[in-house]
Amino acid sequence: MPRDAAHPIEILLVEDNPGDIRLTQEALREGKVLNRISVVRDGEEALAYLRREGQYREAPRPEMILLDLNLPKRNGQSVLAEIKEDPDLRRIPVVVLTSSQAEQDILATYNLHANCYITKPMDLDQFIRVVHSIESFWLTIVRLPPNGASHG
Amino acid sequence: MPGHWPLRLRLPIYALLAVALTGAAIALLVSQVGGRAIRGQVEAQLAGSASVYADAIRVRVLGARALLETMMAEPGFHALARRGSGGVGAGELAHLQEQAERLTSGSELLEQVVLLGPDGDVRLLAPAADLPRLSRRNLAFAAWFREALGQGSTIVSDLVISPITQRPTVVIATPLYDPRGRFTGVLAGMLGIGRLSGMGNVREDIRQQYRYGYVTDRRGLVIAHQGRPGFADRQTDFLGVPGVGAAVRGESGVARYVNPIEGEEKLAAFTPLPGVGWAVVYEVPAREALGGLRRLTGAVLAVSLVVAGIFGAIGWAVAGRVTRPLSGLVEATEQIRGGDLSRRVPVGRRDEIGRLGDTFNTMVEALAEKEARLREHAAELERRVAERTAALQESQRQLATLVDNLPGAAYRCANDPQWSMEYISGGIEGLTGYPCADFLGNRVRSYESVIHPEDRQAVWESVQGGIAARAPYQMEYRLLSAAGEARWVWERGGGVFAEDGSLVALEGFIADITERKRAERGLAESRQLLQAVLDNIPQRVFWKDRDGRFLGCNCAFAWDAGLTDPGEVVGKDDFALAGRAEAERYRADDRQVLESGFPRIGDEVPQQRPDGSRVWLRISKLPLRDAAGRVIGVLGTYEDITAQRRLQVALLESEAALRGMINAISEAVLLLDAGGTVLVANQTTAERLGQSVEEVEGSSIFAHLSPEVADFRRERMGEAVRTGTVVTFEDQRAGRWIESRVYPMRDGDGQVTRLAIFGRDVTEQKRAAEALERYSGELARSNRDLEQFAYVASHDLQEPLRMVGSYVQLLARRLGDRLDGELREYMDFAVDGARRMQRLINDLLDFSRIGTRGALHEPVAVSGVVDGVVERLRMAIEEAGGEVSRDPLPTVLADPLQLDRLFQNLLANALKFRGERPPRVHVTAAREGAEWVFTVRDNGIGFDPRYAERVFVIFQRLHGREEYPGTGMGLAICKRIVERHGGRIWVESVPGEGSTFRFTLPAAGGGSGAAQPAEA
Repeated sequence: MPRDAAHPIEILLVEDNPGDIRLTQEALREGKVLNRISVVRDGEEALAYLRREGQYREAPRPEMILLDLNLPKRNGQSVLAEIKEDPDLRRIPVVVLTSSQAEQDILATYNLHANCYITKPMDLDQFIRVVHSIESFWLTIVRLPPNGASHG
Repeated sequence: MPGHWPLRLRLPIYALLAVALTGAAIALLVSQVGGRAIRGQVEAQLAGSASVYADAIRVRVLGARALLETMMAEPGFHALARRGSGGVGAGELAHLQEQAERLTSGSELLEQVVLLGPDGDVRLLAPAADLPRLSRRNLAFAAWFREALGQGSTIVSDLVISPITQRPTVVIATPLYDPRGRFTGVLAGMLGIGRLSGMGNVREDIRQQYRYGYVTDRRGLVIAHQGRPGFADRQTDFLGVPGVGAAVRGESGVARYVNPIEGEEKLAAFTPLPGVGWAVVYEVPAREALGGLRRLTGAVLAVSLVVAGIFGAIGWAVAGRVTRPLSGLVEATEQIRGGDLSRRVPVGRRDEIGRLGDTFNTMVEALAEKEARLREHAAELERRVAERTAALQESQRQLATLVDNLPGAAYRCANDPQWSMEYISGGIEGLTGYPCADFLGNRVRSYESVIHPEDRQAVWESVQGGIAARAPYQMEYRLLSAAGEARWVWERGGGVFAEDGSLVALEGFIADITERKRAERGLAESRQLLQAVLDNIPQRVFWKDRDGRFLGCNCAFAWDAGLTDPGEVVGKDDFALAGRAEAERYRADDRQVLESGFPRIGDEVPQQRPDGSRVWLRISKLPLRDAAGRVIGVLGTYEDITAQRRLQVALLESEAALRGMINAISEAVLLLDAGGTVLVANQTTAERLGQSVEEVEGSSIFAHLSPEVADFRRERMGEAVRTGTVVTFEDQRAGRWIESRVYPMRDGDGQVTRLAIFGRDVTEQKRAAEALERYSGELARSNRDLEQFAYVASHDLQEPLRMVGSYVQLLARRLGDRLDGELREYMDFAVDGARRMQRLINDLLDFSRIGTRGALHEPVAVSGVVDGVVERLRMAIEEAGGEVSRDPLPTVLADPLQLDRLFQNLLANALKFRGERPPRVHVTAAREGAEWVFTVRDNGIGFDPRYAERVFVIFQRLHGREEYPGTGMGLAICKRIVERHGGRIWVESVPGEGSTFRFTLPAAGGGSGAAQPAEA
């Protein structure tokens, strides 16, 4: 999907660990695609953001969601389930990015229609590579339905 | 004094006799008076000896009895008697044994002491050394055991055979009763009766073979004999000795009698032994005892004889002078006596003798005249005799008339075949129905014609025989009456002979004996019936007279006695029959019955058979009495009860064995009747109820239970009785859980009359089951916790690590060239540490997952797994210049992922720990039973075999991390996988040569036949 370089891609990062937020931001900053990252710190906030509730009334609709599973208040799986049940939101690709290697987590998230599951790598270079891969795969290679085409 | 002796002799003899008779009278007086004194003294002395002897015996026997009764007070004996050696402790048993030993060693009479249980089992025997001699361990059959039990107090037995020494002994037996009056056993002492013989001798010098005392039991069997101490061993029956008989009857005194055993006249003192019933007799030969009296009488007689001799001599001298003139007179007188009455004696002297001559001559003349008158008188007498004879004949005829009126017929007939009647009395009409006139001179019929034809010859012969012998004849025969019936008659008669010996007639009497004959026949029939009954009953029956001679017996007895026919026994006695070994005892028993007049019923005695076998008989003897009620003999019956006794003993033994068995069961075993009364209970039952077995047995089981438990169990047992099926239930009693199984038992009619109950204490089992449930709950929770931990570890522990590693790397990146080599090295250490930590966490996670994941076993081809692993390791193998090979491998039941991991770890290990040589790894498998044994052999560095166990322990490393990197988890994971599959893993290693890992896995399908590995 060729993109207009003048319009940065909207990415929603749902992550409570400030270290990971920073790492992800660093990695995306070095990326090839112009992007704008919004960060929410827990599940409630994530849903509020997506539904443009409260302070997020003006929030843009993200084109990709990076979702951590281990979140305060409402965990990642619950958030994933809500997104995938919402006819308006379900088309937004959700990349589950987590430090869990537990098989049950992997299985559960795919069952909830996560678009992909990625274990955060230990190595910094690898981490950056992974984030770039996600960026290039989902934002430049994959062809997604147009925004707002929920009713069509 | 003969009259023809001359006066010359008579005079001195008269003198001699006068003196001798006087002397004899004096001697008689002296011996009468002196004799009474001597005899009184001897009797007093004898009675004294008997009394001393009796006291000596009595004191010792009663002493022994007192010792036994004292011992009875020891409660331990009761416990031992009732429960056996299991009922008392070993210490207590030793104590009791010692007590009993002390008793035997301390008493001069008690040789053995034996304690019997209520069933007659020997519980204890002292001295213990006698135990092997004990012929049997159950003495219930012993007469004294039964007598003590029957009497209820201490008894002193008659002479019995000791079951230990097999020699005669006397047993003192004390029945034991516990405080509640129940019979618990018998304590018995066996006396050494040999020691009794010598007792009571005051002076050794007077004990000679003819002067002694002896003791017999109530049956006259010798217990002790001063003169012949060995007498007790070869019994002679002394009951026939009058002194013994009297003492046994309870009399005491002194008597003079002939001892039938020694055949000698004895003076004897006898007395019964109070409280025991034995006889004590002290005997001395009468000849010996009264010797003094005889000597005294002899002396007096001798003096009298001497004096008589002197007087005789004087008489002789005087008589010579007086009788000389008389001689002539005598000579003349003798001629006159010869019949010559004309002769006269010479008369010449004027003295008394001359006057005697004159008188004599006068007398001769008178005599001649008297003789003539006597002849006349004799003729007169003869005439009177003739008259008297005629009168006598007349009176005889009158007698004959009298006979006419007797019942039956008197007759006078000729000795011809018709028995022609001269006279027959009117009674013949009653016998034959024909008037007597018919027979006279055979007018209507002859007497012969009414005699039964079959009997005519016998009657003829019988009469002719009588005539020939000149003796009365007597016979029984039949007459045919006018009514046609046969009547039995008895006839007695004889020939009447003339002076010249010729037969004049026959005279006799005929009596009707039909009724008697009928009675005789009835008697004979009933005798036959009786004999038939006697011969066909299993009991042996015999009867004897007062002297012990058999009068008869039945067949069964005859066969037992070694005879073929009951008739042979008549006239014999017990000594002549097969059972002669016991004849003495039979005789003693007979005598007792004869003398007491009371029957002996049901004596159980052993008998030695001629073939050596031993049988038990139950004998009963009854006195036979005549019409006057006098005892004239003994009727005896016996039967063989050997089988019965054997059964009884077997029953007792089997009961004891069963009792022992159920007591050995550590669960409650009970037998109840349908109403709940305890028939049998074992030790465990009693212990659980806190009572003794004796207390529980016979009581209602419900009486020992609380009302709630009792109601519940009554209901359940009722169900078993009603339905006839096994009922099982559990309930709680006294805080314990009891599982009861009630087995209904049916009687012959199919009714449930008894219940067998097994009560199992399942409290511990219940507790264990509860604990198990609790533990398994805890285990499940713990597993859940562990899973939770594993999840946390996989996520939450990784995150901080990642932060450390990533940010150190980020730091290094940002600083870039500004970092010197040393700082960069520090940062590398930090990153490396974080990485290792991550690997550790992941391995740990793997390790824990092996156990928590469900076992999803499926058939897996091991060849495929190994090939897959080798493919993944290809780079490492090529890098090391190594080679991994395998034999054909089988298919096993396993979790494929875990099996992959297992080979991955083992093969990677083998490559990792390689030495200088290029690594060679080979995988094989071999079937062993239901398992496959896999082998992974390498040629690596190996290790010291003492670490063979340690290598499988988690985090255990044998090498430095720099040398061979790794977490130390690999083999621990292998072990966990193998064990999870039900196998074992082990290793053999030689340092420098290599290691061989082996592990087992269950074969797929389990059958040992599929031994060939299947190539994948």
